[in-house]
Amino acid sequence: MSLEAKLEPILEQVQKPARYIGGELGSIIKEPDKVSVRFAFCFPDLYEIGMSHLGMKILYSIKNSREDVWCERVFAPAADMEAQMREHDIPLYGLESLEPIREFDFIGFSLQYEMCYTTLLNMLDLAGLPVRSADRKNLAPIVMAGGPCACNPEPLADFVDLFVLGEGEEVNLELIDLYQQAKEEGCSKEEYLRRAAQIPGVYVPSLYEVTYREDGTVRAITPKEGAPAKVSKRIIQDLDKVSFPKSFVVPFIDIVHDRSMLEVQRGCIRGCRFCQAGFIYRPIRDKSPETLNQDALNLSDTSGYDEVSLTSLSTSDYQGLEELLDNILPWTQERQINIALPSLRIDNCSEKLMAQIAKVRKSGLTFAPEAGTQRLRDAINKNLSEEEILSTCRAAFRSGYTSVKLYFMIGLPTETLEDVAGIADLAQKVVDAFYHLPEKPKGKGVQVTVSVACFVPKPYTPFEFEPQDTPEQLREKQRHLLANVRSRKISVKYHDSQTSVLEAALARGDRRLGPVLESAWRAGSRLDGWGEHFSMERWTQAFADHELAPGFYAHRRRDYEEVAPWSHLDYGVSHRFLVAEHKKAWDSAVTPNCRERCSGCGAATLYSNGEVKPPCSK
Amino acid sequence: MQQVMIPVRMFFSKTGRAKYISHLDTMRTFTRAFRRTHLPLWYTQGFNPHLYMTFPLPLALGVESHREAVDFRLTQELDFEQVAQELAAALPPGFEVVAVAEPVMPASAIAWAEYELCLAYPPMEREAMLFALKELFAKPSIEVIKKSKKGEVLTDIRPHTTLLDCKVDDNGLWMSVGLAAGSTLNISPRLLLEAFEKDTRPADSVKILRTAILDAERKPFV
Repeated sequence: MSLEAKLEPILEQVQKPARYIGGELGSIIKEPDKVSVRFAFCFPDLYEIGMSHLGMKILYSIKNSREDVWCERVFAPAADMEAQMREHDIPLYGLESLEPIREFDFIGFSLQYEMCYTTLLNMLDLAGLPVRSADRKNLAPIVMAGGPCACNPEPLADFVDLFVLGEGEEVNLELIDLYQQAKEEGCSKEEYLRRAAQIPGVYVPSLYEVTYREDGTVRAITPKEGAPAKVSKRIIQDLDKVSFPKSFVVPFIDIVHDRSMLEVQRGCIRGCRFCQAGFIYRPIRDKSPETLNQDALNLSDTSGYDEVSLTSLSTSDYQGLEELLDNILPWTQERQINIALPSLRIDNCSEKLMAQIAKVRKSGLTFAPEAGTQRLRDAINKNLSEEEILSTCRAAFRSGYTSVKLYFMIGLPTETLEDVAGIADLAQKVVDAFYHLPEKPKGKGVQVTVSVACFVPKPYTPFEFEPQDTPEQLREKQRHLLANVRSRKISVKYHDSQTSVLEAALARGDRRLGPVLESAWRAGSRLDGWGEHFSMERWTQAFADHELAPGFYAHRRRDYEEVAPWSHLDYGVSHRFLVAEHKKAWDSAVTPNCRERCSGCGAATLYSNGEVKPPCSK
Repeated sequence: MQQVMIPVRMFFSKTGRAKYISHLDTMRTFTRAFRRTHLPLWYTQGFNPHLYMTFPLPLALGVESHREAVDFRLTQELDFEQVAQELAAALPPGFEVVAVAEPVMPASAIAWAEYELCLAYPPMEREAMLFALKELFAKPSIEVIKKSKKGEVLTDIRPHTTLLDCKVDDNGLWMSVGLAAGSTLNISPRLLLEAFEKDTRPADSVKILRTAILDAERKPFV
């Protein structure tokens, strides 16, 4: 019986069956006998999340542009579908062919957040494969992973055969070429991995031995069998020359980001000290307005989407923004297409820009001051003054907005209760700014939503040395914040502090967390990013089973000299620079952005020509 | 300036994997498919214009159909054959254009729909099932609990149900039925199935196909 026939009765029993059946416009179907490499691109979360991810769309399109490769999409099934699959013996399959992925040549995972790790194990198991790399003896399938969490992939070292560090457009194809050659020569999996480790940007964890000191910290990381002592991340040198999809897979069901997406730039000039993305995606590289306008035209024609989103880490820092909008607005308005501009900074969001946005977007505005006081904003290098925040909010109110959402974090290094109270004060000042405005929208009130996340220290940031606040400390700060909010115009939303602890432990974890991860998964952990699935008790037990504690990874201050579990991986940004930035944070001293003055972070060394002058533009 | 507004009705089929696409998702899918064409489509004229599109008789999730209808508007006169071709090229797999025409009846004219139901049973049970089905329709009333927005109501669906044909086939039991349809009274084929399975047992698998949409005189909805 074909898998499709087996699926038929169970799809009637599950929520949103369209998640599991493929057949969307833009999905790519090939003849299995006419390709030599089958690639399962797995996103370890639900369809709605994975289908919203631009990186997956880019790599899906690049791999499928090769005639000899068929790349398919695979997402984690929700609990109801997983139960049906296990009951009816249906292995995890690709959405294009509806064939089991355990027969494929590659299984590649995108690691966007730490809380997906148990889902990765669960997907391997659902595929019918052993979760541990060492237990998968054959050449195929090669299990690989990439994405931001690959910058410290050590907790996954036991399960994944190889990691791709940095940007995947080129290296994915190089790995496929090497595989085709290895298959022809009849190589073993070990031999393939040894050769793969020689490709820049490819990290094979089994080729490194890690030893530990008595206090539990790493003593040394030693390469074996010719693997490089340092693996450097890959970057795309010129974004105008790299392939970008001309069409997206257009889903039937509503997904999180259901629109055309452009990537206006990679990297970020800012260097906010808490932000991992701001460091690991360096150096900043722009895409030209002409290329982007063409990308937008292609996607609008092929998808029928009524919205184009200009994405990046900080879109208002994109130098070609006004030119791009001048090109794009005339034809999008004619075709009833909206432009979405997420990730705008508060300080350079001009009134002209604001007016342009107001024309196309009627929802609320969101800004991220991150911290409540100037001192703390300086310590985290947010480079944003209170006056800039208030004047931008006034401009927004003048153009008709009556609700503003402000993002903050608590638990930031150097933070005091005074800084926490500052969040409430700042929100109050925004409320007051509305009522003091003579030209405020008539007959309307203002709504300020304060969304407060818990800070998680991450590798490759100046705060990688810092302890995370304990859940008790975070809860105290949450209470202190609520006690300081006095207006009904302000609503406060905050996140669960327990998942943050686990996130912090996994983010800076070492290989000893592999068995912990496996125990937590075997006890039932999966889809940990979803509140209804997450259980801290299960995780606490899993840590205890292996005589480890989350606090060792989450709440411990590290010396500058300590060997980090990821110290053999190189993201361009130097240790010396991170130490200097860390010291400046404690002095509340700011660092200018990459365009004002190069701070010599080291990312420019990632350019292959070696002749790049600051600020990292060609 | 008043825009020209030409009403158009497209008849289409929805089969195979497309049956897993809910009505709401079908609307979204069609909006995007229509936007991929170069047709002069009519948008609502409000503050937030959107593509005008309405489905006279929505189809339930999991049900296939040979003839569905969707109404939309054009802003200039076009050959319907050309419209049909453009739409056929833009629709995703599982949706086929059957015809494009000027709407004749209003959506409120819909009173009946016809369905084919295939119920799978092992060979030895099939004749008994056929017998049970005929018995069900021999009864003066078929009472089922109908769920609506107002709550659960015990309803006699017999007057709103016609057994057109039935037989044993290679899979089990095949039947063709007519059920009241439309915005005032709509009897789902699953409701009939529920009544039948209460007397017998749940089938091993069920396939439902809508074959026609009809008016009160049981003439095709056009």
